[in-house]
Amino acid sequence: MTIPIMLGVAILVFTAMRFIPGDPVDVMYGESGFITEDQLERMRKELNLDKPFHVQLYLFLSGLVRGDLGISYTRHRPVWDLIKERLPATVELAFGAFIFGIIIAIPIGIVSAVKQYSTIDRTSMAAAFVGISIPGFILGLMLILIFSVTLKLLPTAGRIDPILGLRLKDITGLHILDSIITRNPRALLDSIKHLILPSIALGAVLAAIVARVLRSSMIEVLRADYITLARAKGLRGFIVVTKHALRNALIPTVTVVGIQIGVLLGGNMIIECVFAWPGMGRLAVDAIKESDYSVIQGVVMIYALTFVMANLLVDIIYTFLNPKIEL
Amino acid sequence: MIELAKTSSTSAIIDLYRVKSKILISNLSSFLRELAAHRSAFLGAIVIMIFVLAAIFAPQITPIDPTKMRLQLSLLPPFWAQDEGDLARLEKQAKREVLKELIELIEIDKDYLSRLRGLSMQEMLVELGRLSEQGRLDRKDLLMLENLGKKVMVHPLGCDRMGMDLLSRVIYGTRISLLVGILVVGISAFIGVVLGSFAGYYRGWFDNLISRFCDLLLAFPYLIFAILIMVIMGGGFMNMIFALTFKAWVEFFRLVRGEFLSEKTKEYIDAARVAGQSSFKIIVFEILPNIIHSVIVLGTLRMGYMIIMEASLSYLGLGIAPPTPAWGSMVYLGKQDIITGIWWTVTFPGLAILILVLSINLLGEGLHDILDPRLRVD
Repeated sequence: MTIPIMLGVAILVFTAMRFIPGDPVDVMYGESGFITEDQLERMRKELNLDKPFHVQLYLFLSGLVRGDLGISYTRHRPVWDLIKERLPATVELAFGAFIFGIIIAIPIGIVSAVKQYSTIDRTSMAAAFVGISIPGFILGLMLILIFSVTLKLLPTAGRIDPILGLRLKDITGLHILDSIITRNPRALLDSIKHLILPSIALGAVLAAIVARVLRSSMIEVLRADYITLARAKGLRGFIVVTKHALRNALIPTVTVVGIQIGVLLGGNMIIECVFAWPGMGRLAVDAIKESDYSVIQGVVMIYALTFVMANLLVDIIYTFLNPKIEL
Repeated sequence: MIELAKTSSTSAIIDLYRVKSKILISNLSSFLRELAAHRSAFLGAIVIMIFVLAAIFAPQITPIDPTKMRLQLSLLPPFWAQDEGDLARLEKQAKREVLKELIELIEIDKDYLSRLRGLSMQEMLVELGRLSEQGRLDRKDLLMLENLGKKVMVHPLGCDRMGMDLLSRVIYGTRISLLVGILVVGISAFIGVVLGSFAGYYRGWFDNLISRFCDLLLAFPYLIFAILIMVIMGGGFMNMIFALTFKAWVEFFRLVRGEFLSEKTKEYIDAARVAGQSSFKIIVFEILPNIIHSVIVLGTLRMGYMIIMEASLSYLGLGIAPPTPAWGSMVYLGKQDIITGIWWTVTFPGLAILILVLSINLLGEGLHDILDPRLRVD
């Protein structure tokens, strides 16, 4: 199922982009005014814009398989290279958000379920409700206002202090990993500081949703007979909850996380804009402002393919958690 | 004889409808009672009502024009944070606007005008009163000028960078957000219900085709897809409705289709078929009334999400362009100033989005509790 959907995504995006009025070559060179009509014609040929639609589609798809997403209209570099440069930043942020979401959500979900209707439960569920109702960019800006502008604790923009960034050797592109490998504690501290606020802003929705789902499925599981049996056998409450109940309660949670990956990917674009995070989403937003359609097309493709792959991954995890289901 | 049979069957049908509408009304009143008893849902409903009223009566309740730029008042803080300098700015602006109107109304010589300019607002109003007593200024115009002066002096929530009044813009912004929510959810629910009921009832190639198309649409993260459509079609209100609806109907389709699949196997459908009802009637009059509550719940919950999506698109500069008052674009305009500690341009529209979405979600969850009988078991 995954492969036909990926193919469909590629065809849909490619076709949709053809609906944009105007000529890409004009966007690329039209403004400079130094280029003759003849040269423009040559450019069109080079970009295969003179060929019929189905040939263009075929070339696009075969390029895609080889990892070729075309050339940026305004930056005159391969789109894939542009994305590759930005990818580590996006991965780092996504990872940060994911970690934040899970670290906050799982204990809250468990405690709220075990101590249902307690003060902790009520407060954290109210907070989770706010979490699902607040747009990421508003939360991000509020965090900047509180922690950066007023308290001056954390930086507002970027991934790392520019001077530290220049000295940091680029190995994986992930600043935190790089600074650990090169044993650079100052760079490590600085990149973690930069990562905190964007991760919270992006991960809050995830945390809120996971906490809510985990709580309700946990409550349901805790009522099951086998939990009563485990307790009757004299097992300690903590073990019953973490070893017996959590595993089954995680099944619906994983499904929800799978659905939320799409929200995370879309939110990623917004949060990268709020915090001037030099990732793929920011690249796309810049490309939108510059009408650089080949970059937009490339980034949308990458987002959609990531989403499809993530859903596949969720399905696989699902079978591990629930042996009753087979792929 | 046939005539008689016809009339009696018609009256029977009318009776049936009377009974049905009575049930409907009693259902409605019991529903309202339950809603009133559900504290959080009731609170949500009340807040939503306030927003709806604000949207409808925006021109009556807003003090001044939300798109009028007064660059002199750029980044004016909210009233409790206004200092001497801000008050002086306000007075200067008010005087300027009153004088501008005055010149339009009556002939004034230059010396008198410069004398008026030198006066404070209070003194100027006294002077205007004198003009009116002399009969040079209409009583009605005097009142108008006084009102104008008062109006410009008051900006409770301050102004944005372009000097536009934040309170008026927040109130007017309600219109865009609510309209986007209602239109997108309404259109998507309609498309989803129509396609979903036919696909779920008849199955076959039609169901296959639409379901595969849905799978394709679901492969895109929601916001990314909306951005793609907006890039292709360009900004603006209608394009945004289109971009958001393009994917939003899928969820309604899948919900309705699923419900139809399970309802179709139940006995009352067999009974209806034996009684000779047509498939169309079974779909519309038998099955739909039984599943519509879940569409309502989903619709309410999605409305909050659509409002967030609209704000996000406007924030990225793809939706509603300034100076049209929309919350997302207000935050976008205010963002550049927060580093310098200007918090109000971002916070007020942000709070508005948060409170509205929060109330809609509260109502949605409440409706879920009230309308979904499967949850009532324990």
